[in-house]
Amino acid sequence: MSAVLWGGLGGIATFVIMAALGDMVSEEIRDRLDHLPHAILRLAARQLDETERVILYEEVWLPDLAYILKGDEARPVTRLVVGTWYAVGILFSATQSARHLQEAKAKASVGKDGPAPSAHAAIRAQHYSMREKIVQPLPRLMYVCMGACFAILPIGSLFDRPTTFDYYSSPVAAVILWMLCRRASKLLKQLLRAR
Amino acid sequence: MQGLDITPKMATVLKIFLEDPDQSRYGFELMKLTGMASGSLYPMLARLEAAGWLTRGKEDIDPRAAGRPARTQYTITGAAVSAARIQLGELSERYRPPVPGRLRPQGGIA
Repeated sequence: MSAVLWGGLGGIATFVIMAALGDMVSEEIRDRLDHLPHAILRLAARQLDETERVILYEEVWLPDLAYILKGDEARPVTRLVVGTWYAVGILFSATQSARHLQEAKAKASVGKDGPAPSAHAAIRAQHYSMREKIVQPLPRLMYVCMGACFAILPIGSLFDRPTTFDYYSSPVAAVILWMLCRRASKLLKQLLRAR
Repeated sequence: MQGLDITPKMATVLKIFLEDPDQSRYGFELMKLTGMASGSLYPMLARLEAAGWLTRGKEDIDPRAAGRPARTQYTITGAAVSAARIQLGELSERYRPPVPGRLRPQGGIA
């Protein structure tokens, strides 16, 4: 009888603990997922220069995302889907918006103050399309490569030596590739800015 | 103000602004009204702004009370209203299907 009682109490205690843990985990996941659109938007902002970041990221994109996530119509799943979709769209078009902004700035400064003060902006506007063509696709390529590494590049198995390394080879290769791509992207940016 | 080659997507956005030229519009509001993705809409707004067709302003709210930052709102400029009307008319004319009465009857002489 005592064993049954203890068993029942143990079951109830387990149920309560599991329910509490489940709530905590779901809250944690909800909180983390809410950060996803912000993280994507920050990634988009990293493609911009400081001034463009202030104008586009801080004044345009971020307030709109905040409205999507905190607005009156915001529902938990809807806001996540809409917010993420919004941020992904921005991620792939950030450089286009920045280019238009840059062109407008260059034209305005050339028209008002003459060529000398605006020389830097004008030169940058001229080079921007080249930067966009060469540098910006690199991060995209990087993510594609990372995905490919995770999916189809188990390096260890190529040598037919099943070791513990096999399990880690794909992520390791992906991280190395990611670091190389980042480095190459930074070098190219510096090179193009120096010109 | 610069001249622009109006694309059908751009025409959709301009049409919203022309419905009430004095009313300011928000980026996300335009996304909902036009059904366009952010990836298409925001570069287009930047392009229209760069060409001087739109001006940018701030939403009139108290960020602390609202719990979020003030959004950027776009308003069409006076010069752009007339230019947009003309160009939308031209675009409409370009895409207008031919009137059936003008078709030559089968076997007939036009």
